[in-house]
Amino acid sequence: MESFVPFALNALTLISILLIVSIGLAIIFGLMNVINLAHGEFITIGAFTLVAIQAVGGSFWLALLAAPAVGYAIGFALEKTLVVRVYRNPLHAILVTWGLSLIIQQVIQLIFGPAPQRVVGPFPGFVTIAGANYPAYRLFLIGFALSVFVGVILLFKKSRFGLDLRASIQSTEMASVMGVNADRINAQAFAFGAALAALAGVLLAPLTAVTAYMGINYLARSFFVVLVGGAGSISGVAAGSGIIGGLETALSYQIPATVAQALVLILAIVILRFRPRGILPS
Amino acid sequence: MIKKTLTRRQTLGTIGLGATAAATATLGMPAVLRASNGPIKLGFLSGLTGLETILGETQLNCFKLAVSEINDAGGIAGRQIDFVVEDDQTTTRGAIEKARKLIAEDEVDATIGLIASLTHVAARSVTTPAKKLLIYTTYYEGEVCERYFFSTGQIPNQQIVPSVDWLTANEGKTTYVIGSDYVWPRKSAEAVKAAMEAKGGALLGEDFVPFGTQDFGPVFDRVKAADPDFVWVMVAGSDLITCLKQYQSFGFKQQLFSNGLDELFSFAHPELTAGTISNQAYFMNLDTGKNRAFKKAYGEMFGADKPINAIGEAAYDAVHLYKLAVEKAGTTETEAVIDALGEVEFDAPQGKVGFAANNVMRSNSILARGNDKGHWDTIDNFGQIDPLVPGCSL
Repeated sequence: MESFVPFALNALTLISILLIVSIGLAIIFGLMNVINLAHGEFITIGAFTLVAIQAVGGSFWLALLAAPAVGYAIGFALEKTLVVRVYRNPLHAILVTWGLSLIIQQVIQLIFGPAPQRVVGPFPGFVTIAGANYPAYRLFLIGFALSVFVGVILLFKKSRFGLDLRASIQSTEMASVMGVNADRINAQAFAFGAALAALAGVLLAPLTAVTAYMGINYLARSFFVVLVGGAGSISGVAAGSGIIGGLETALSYQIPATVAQALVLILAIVILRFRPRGILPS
Repeated sequence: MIKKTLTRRQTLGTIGLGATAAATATLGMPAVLRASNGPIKLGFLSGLTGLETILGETQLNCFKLAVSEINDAGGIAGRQIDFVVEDDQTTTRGAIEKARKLIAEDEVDATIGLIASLTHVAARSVTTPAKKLLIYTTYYEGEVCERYFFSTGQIPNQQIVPSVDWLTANEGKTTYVIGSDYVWPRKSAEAVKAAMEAKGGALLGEDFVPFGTQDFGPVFDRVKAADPDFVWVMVAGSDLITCLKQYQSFGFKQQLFSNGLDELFSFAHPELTAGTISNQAYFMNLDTGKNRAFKKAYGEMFGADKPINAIGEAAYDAVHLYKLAVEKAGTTETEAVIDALGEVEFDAPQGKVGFAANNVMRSNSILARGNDKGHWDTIDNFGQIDPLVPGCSL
């Protein structure tokens, strides 16, 4: 039992990391069908919002509120100026968002420099669960990621915004006829996805090196999570994170971590072979 | 009109003439005559983006500092140094492409730089067959024996072996290696194992994680289960910070040693490096007149509060050693410079340095503990150590 507790918590931590970094992409890529290669940089923007706020004496909690606002504003502006022009052409979207990601990386490095940035997370100590020490911050991360997930599900299922968005994704024309402003909904949805990514950036910063390139680490995996879970459904993200995170943690206890990551990717490909629309498609 | 007057035969003839002329120009005369007054061209190749970004800028700055010192003092035998900077993005492909570009397009006289070992392997696959000089300035796993490859960083018998001597005497007889999954940590782990066993100790386990690993939890669980006396970390670049952040949060009691830690990590994150132990050929705290002058010159050029690390100091040494070798050889011709490199000595910030017969620099070995100001306090200075590459004499 003693060794099961840290295993389960490690699996939950990785699942939460994947969940929180992928949920924004589930909206932008999964629902809106925009192949957004700048997703990692929205995460970076969130982490650097925390850096900037702590540099002027603000707290982690303030950043947790401010980063989604910053992400939303940047996402909204980018949708209105760039992304709105590429909805009809996925290739253009790839090119535009890839270029965007390079520009964001370099701008951040120009402002903050290449040195890793210092951030202070809450809950620095560890707690003892069933005889094993476990970092308190990771427990907070698990709880927070799950709450964000539930919140997003509720927003999509219960709110007017969620209803309008789902309607305009099913049929933009029909939704427009029924009085839904599709342009506004698209901009809001893209900005909301960017806001969630920025929120993830704040949450991950205390666990990882904060540099202009940190977002790269999350890009491929969040696409995998969304594809395996089922593009087009928010609950699919939980399935995707659960399978990829759970398997990877379980395997890396048995075999070298590099092999474990490769095996999980192979398994994901096998899953997609038999369930091309993902585990929990919409 | 031109089409009419230009036949294929003529064109071929012209190209042939040009090629002959070019060949005469490059091969027929000694290089020193070819461009005796033109600038000497150096290539700087390193990871300015990607995993090693945090180390690349300082290495480049130290390179620039050495070049500007030499140019201000009249250049190399009266010739100024020009340089081209290329970014390998910390990838093998980038290192190969950019090494090719520096040699073929820019026609540099020598290439200096590189951080992650995978990039020196890649760059060597271009420079050595082309018989071009490459000077690597980062501590690494050693074991390279090539005439066209020089290194100014520590190799295991200068860094790992003396550290193991001290650690087994003071921390305990067992350790566990956590490293990134590539050549430097894997080969170095073999050196750690051999050194530990030579001291009657043991390497209890080793774990290598992919670049960009976000969760060290499972690895730490295994380390806890093995319960070593101290933990040996060789995680590279910004991943090392991720590893340190999580190591601290897991509440380990074991001493952490990492031969990858230096001022670039400790200035940014003194809270993570305080109490950890490292071994480098150079630390900023080194109290020598040369080092004070070096730090002052660096501060004036790039800002007084900026960190300098051993990789940077080794890059600075590499440029100066190259200058001395060209002056001794009286030419930039690669073979002559290589012969001369073995004979020159530079009064470096870390002390007097020169190359051994295996093309590795004789460098310092300083064991130090990070303090809460981000500097490194010397625990034991093993002095300058001759590099050992078994079976290698060039």
